[in-house]
Amino acid sequence: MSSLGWRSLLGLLAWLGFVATLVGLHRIQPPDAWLAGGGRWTLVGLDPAVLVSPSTVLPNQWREFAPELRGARYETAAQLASAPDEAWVIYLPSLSLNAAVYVNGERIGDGGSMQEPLARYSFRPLLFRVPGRLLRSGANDIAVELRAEPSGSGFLQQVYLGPLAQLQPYFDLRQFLNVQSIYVLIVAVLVLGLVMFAVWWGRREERVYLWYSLTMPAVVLHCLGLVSTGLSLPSVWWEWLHHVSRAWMIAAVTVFGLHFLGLSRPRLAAFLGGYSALGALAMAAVAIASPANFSTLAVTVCSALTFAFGFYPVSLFVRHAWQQRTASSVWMLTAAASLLAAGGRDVLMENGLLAPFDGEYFHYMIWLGIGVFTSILIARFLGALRESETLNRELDDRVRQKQAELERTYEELRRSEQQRLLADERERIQRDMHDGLGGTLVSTLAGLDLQGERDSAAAQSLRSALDDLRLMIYSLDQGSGTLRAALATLRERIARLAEDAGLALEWDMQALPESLALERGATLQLMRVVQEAFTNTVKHAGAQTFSVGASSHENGVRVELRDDGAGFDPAGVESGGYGLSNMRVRAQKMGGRLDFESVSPGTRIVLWVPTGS
Amino acid sequence: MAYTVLLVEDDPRTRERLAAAIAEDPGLQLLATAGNCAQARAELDARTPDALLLDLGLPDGDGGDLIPEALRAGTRIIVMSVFDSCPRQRAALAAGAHGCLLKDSSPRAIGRAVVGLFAAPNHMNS
Repeated sequence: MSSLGWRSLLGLLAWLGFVATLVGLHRIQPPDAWLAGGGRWTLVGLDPAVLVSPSTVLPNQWREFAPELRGARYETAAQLASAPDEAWVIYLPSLSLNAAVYVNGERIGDGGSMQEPLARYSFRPLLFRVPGRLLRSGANDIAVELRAEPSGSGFLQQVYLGPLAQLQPYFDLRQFLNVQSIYVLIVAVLVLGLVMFAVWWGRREERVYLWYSLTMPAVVLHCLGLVSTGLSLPSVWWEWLHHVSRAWMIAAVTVFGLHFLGLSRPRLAAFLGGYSALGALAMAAVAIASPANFSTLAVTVCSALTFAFGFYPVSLFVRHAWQQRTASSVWMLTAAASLLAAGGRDVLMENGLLAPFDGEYFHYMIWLGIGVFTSILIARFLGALRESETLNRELDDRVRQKQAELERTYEELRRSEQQRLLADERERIQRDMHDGLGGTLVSTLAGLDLQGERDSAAAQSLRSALDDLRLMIYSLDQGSGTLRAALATLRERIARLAEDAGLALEWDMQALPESLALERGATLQLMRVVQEAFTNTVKHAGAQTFSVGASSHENGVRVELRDDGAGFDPAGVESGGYGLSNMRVRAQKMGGRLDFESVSPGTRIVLWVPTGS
Repeated sequence: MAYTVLLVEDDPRTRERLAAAIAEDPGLQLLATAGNCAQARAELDARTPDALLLDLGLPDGDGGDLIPEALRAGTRIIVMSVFDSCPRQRAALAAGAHGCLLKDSSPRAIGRAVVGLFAAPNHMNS
């Protein structure tokens, strides 16, 4: 069994428990010991006063015996062993319309007007205190007078005589079930209606909240009709209100259900609107023209029609539950079906097909209905909120992403612009150098060459200056290049010179990662050191081989430059021999170190450049 | 048989040194020298050298303008510059020059470069 199946079963059990509790609560009555007169009564008709039955057992529906009578009087004699010391009461759990109670000939209370317009106390308990010393030892005459509408029912469920302390709790329970709970329901429905109306006001496109809020006035009117006694309205208008408000409720619930399920039936909604308005007018016309026949008409025609219309919204929820098979759809069906069933039960009762003593059940199911529909609407509302929050978040994310993308694009543009500027600048410097300084250096070198001073100190200085100039321009160009790429360019240049000098060149970059890059200035300094070491070797060493090896270590790059020439004079180095001390200064500028040693044969220079921060 | 060379260079001392280097090379024969575009064009009109050693920055124009004319005559071209891979040099190579050379190259390197033009066409270019 699926989890939905289990939940539905649990829901069904909860529903059955709810209904059983309701019915059970109506069955709670005081012990029979407190039945006035042992429950045996004499039934006498009023207007005219005729004996209907000398021996009647309560509960009793006197109109079934004497439909022509508009009033009835139940009489009995209550035997008391002694006059009670404490406060005693007479308690009537359920009766039609209104009652007046007499003890030993004295009227001890009534539920309001006993003449038209009658006070309407149907299904409501009454509790009257018996004044002190009115009850005496022996037989006490108890009488209850009742009235009925021309075509209404007339009944008396039971009459209890006993101490206040004993009977009060039963009265309170009945009062709670048939009166207070309805007042609470009216307040709850009013508040809910206002809240839902406010929700709709805030979200006009969500018509479902409007229709839900519009079912509420109909519910309120219907409930007021059940409990209101303050207004002295002719009975016929109470009946009118009772039936018309129920029809309005069904119409509003139907339109609400259509909206709730996302169905569009504009013609049906218009028909229901017309039916509600015209039906009410037609009923009002009957009430004015022929009040005597109103009850029959209202009870039979109107309640039957209303009940029949009630099937339509229920069928909608049946279909929805069948299609969706969700817990919420099952609950909605349960609520709608419960309302219909309770309404049907009440219609049967009004038509005299069921005992009237419990009163109406419809309003209990309204609790179930508003509980279910309100919680589902709230869940739906919260779901929409969550969805919009999620959407907002996603939108935020997208905006942020776009922003980041824009920033990246801008950064790229900025960088490429920077590179373009750098390239332009480099080109300008190159042109200037080519036509100016570079050309002059080359020309001067050529002049020295022609004079046979190719190897003079001046020529060597100029050549070194030219080499340096080339490295600088290269480094301007390859600012962000890798160390390997920079050294490869240098190799190309050195290889040509080595070939001229008859020098073998060994180049080992195996231990240098492809992607390793130094800071721009450091790369230039490193290339200068290599260039200078090479120049020194060509100039001074008389070597056969010049080798360059570079390797990467955990926190630095090690470059070893080696030749197999004559080595150097340590004294010359200490006194600031030109090339070597120059190289040392360059190493220091990179934050590195330069060591050299005379090996046999030749010179070894080790340059250490730190990497990382 | 030595390759004939036309040398175009505006700086007199550089031109002289390069001319000397070519003259000393047994594999090369200096046909003529020119100091500007006009002279160079006149020389190219007059004769057809095997190779043209061409400076790009000339006082009366861009030496690169001579490239198409030289190519039509079947002459192979080496452009000379102070710096390697400068934009003007790249433009000249794109225009059809076969190789490039630093102006301060040694005589041996110059000879190697010219002879190399014929041993493996476009060698320096690749």
